[in-house]
Amino acid sequence: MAQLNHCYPLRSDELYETFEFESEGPSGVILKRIEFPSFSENLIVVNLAFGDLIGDEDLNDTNVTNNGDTEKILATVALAVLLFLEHHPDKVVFATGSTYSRNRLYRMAITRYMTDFPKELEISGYVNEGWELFSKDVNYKAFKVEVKTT
Amino acid sequence: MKKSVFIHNALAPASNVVIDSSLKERKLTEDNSPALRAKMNIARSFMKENGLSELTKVSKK
Repeated sequence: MAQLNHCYPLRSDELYETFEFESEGPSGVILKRIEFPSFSENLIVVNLAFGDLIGDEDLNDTNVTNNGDTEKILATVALAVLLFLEHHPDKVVFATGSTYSRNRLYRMAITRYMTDFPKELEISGYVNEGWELFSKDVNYKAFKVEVKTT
Repeated sequence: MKKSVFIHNALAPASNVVIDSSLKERKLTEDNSPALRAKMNIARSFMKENGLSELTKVSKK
């Protein structure tokens, strides 16, 4: 239950839809942004968009900043997902990485922090043309996190 | 069916989250952020390729 306490302090807008935090390490202080934009054709599903904030204007998720804090960053992103779903329980957070390694990173993060997630949450992975409840040893192509229906 | 609401406070101390009203004004959208638009297009392509119109359906193991 302690994993998610090891995260960076988050700043959030009033609606808990946009989050920022600072990664600190040997490469300096790097501003990170997390957004949950809706797909226009499906207002229930939102995309997890995360990256370095470049000049306060745009995201970059291709940089490898080597700040030595990957686990702390992932914990902070996981906390942002929890906060978003707490305030938007009817939404479904979808995430897919642009590369195999990015999806692997997502899988590792979910595996690490899922025990800290509230039991009200359901985490699923997409594999073999279907969704299934998340299992740590499966190479998923995409993920979704949502509050369970009652 | 209405979904339940959970409370994060047991997991995350309130001190870890600060409300910053300026974030709303600096929110990234597909209109003002080419990178965000690219991310959304990657996700849309994935959904289209995999026929995920019924995204919320989950096959229980």
